[in-house]
Amino acid sequence: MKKSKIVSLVLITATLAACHKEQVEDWNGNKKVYIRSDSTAAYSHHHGGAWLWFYAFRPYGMYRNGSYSRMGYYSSGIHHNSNIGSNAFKGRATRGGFGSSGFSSSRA
Amino acid sequence: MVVLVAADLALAEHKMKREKMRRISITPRNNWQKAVENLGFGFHTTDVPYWIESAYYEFTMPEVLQIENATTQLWEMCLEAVQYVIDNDLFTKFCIPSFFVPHIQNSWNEDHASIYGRFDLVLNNGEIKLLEFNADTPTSIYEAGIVQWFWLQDFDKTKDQFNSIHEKLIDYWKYVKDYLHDGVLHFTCLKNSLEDLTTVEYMRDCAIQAGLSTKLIFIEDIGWDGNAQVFLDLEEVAIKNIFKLYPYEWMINEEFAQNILLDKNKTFWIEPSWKMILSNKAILPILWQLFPNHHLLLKASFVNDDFTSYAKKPFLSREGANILLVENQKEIVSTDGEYGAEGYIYQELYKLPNFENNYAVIGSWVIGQQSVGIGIRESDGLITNNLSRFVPHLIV
Repeated sequence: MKKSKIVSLVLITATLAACHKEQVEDWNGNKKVYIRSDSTAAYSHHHGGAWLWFYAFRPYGMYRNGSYSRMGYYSSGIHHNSNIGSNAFKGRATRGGFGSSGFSSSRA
Repeated sequence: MVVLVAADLALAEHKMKREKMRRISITPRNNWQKAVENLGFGFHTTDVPYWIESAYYEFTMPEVLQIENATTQLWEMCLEAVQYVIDNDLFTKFCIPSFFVPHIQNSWNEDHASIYGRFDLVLNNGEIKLLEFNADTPTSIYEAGIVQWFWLQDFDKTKDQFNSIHEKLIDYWKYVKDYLHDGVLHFTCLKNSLEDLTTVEYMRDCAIQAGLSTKLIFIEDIGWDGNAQVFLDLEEVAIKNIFKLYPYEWMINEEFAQNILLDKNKTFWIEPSWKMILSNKAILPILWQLFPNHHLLLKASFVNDDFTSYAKKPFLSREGANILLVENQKEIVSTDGEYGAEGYIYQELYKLPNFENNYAVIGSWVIGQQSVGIGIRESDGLITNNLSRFVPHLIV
């Protein structure tokens, strides 16, 4: 047999349906917004654009003794200084060392 | 008697026609955009249509079996070729930097798992030829495994499709699970590409169904702890297994490249780094050298010695960039781009079949060690590029 019999998805449909909101109207165009991901960090300004939900801030934290400690948020879409601030834990890792060579790996 | 002969001839002619891959024009489903978006397929149309269902390709079962066998053979030949390149230390021919060679050798010697790959094949006049192998970051697996399958359910449930991609992916993740380090399997891609994210989330979906614990992290967010010498996610959890949709040839030129070798966790990268050998078009002359005149291969060489009709391809080109096609010493088409610094290979010209100015290439998927299905992309010209269209298929 060549054909699939049962095809079900557990993750992708909902996730990607949410992604397909390519532009948030108010952030489109040339408007500047000032954002930071950590209350100890400085704001920096950014131009709007195609802000997909997955650009947004991801929770940042760590597990200690089996429990999760939230340490703010992180977004690679904003300046390093607006991500880290004086948060020592956030400064433990260097980030951004991959991902600078292209915009998409698709259609290869 | 004459009538019978004529009937026989007509039948034979009909059979011959039916044994050829065909493109059939049809009316798309009403509101097909909604139908594919409900599957999570958000990039069906960009500046130009990507998903096309105003036509489909039809294959006969013998053709499908032929593709299946060819794919299996090619995969075995590729594995032999990897061994040959490693045994003979041919990494400089592939322009692979020496610092990364130990990682490749190690991933091969320790048999790090490869999940998938896509052979780009031409089927023309009953012959199959390999154009190239997308071994490291092949895409369109979601379109092939899911979107065209659900199209067939709406179009004609009674028909078959060469497509067991989805269940084979789940099965293979189950198999691979025991070979990974304990803990989470991370998935990563660039954050600004919905197409990349779709592929990665689809792969993660299958891994979840296989019982693996997974997490998504965008590749820009991956952290490096210089003291502990480990990669970290955004919860400071060490990354020990990671599926990446990001090519090695980019990674090894980036800031964290050396950290891959320093990594105390010896993270399993999927695809493994030995796939760098197969994703490089330098593998094409090596295959020809190892299997000269093999019926599935086109003559290929590092130098243009005696070709009169050929394709000149950069070692690491993507999206059909920097390709030159020459026929009888005359350029027939070329594309520009930013690739070619590493060098070029020359491959005997073999044209894609033309279906009313739609030129079709067959992407034939290997999952684990198995040939599991196909996806068809068609272009307006002889070079398949980033404007190519994905078209569903069925078996008659």
